[in-house]
Amino acid sequence: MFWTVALIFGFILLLSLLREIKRLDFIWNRFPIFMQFVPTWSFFAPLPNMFDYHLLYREISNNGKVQEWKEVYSLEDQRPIYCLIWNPEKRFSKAFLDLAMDLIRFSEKVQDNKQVCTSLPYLQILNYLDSLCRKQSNFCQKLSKIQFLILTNSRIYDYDILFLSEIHPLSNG
Amino acid sequence: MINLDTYYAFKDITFTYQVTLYILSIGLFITSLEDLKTWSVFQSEGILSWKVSKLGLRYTTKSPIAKLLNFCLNDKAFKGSIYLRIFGAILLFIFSVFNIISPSLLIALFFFKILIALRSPYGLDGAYQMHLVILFALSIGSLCGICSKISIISLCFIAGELVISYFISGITKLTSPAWRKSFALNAIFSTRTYGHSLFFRLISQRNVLATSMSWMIFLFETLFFLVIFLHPMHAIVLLVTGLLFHLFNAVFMGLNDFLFAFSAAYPALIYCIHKIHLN
Repeated sequence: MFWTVALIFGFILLLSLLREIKRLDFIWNRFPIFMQFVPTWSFFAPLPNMFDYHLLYREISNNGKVQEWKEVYSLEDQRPIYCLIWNPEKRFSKAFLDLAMDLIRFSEKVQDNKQVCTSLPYLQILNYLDSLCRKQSNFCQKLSKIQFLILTNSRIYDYDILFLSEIHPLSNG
Repeated sequence: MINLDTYYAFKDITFTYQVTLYILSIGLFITSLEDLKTWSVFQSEGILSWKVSKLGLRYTTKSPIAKLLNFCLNDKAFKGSIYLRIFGAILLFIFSVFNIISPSLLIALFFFKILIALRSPYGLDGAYQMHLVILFALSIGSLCGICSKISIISLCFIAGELVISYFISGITKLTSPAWRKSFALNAIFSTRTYGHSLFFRLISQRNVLATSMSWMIFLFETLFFLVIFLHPMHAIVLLVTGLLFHLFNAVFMGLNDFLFAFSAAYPALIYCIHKIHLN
């Protein structure tokens, strides 16, 4: 029992070390569910996150009238001091950051709009905005459409368009 | 004279488990409460909607366990698991104060934690991973008896993952041009997501500060593994540096969960250092 447990621990430690070797990605990609639980420890490296990601959307009516871009959420300029203990806002911003980066990586890899539009990150963002739009918008009508945009910026860099989606009809709920 | 009795108390495995669980329970409580506060993220209309996530996994659409996974990961069940995590964390805290170690509670918390990643890998971070590592190891260790050899290697596993985490983080930074040229720190702190306006102003006006901080991070992370070879009295410096590093990240980057998750791994490391040098 001792040696079985020791081997398991040793194996996971070894995987934690080896998983950072990009040449071995072809092995890790064969076991995505399992590898999800093997720790990866390359924080903010090799390329750190250098931008804030902004999610905007606009509605387009069937008669072609286009609403202004609306930002879904805005990041605070200064984080409150209590965030060193309590920071629930990071859940949404980290989730969106991960989705945006995955979407960009995938769209650069496939170069096919149809595949991009059916990718998981794209569908997650679209589903979220579809629900948001149906709940919040005064303009919202059953036949209106939606489009989303991802912008990046920071205190150093100006706004830049990272991704513009296709135009999709809003769901009926 | 500094009283190091508490530091040397980590020679005792029971005390090590107790302190680990104490810190772990606080971290689990905060992160679970944060998940509850931001529940809208996980709902069907949220950005981590299960009805969308499950489309990307073969196991949730075409497998014998699909029904079970769908049952455990739908909105109602998942919200229930968050409440159970909160309750479990409170129980863990109370148990740790009274030095009660419950393998079933640890296993349950490990299972509920796994549900988060099964539902969606997006939005997770290193703190989540460290929580899983500690819960996994302590579940096995406590199940076999905390004074057993398996319990000892469970703590060695936690210490190993902690040391590896810093080493890999340091090496990947050292091999990165952005970090070596020292503009990585400026770029990170220029963001509102992980940055801080006051600290950004400080390092952008003083290049030497950004450069020296970058190199201090490289050296600390890459050489942290040497703590295993140091006598406990000398290892204190590296250990305190590590805790201050996470405190800094919590204050200036909003990485509050890292502070508790990684701090919870330190008792295991201290125990291993004592085991190596003071036997």
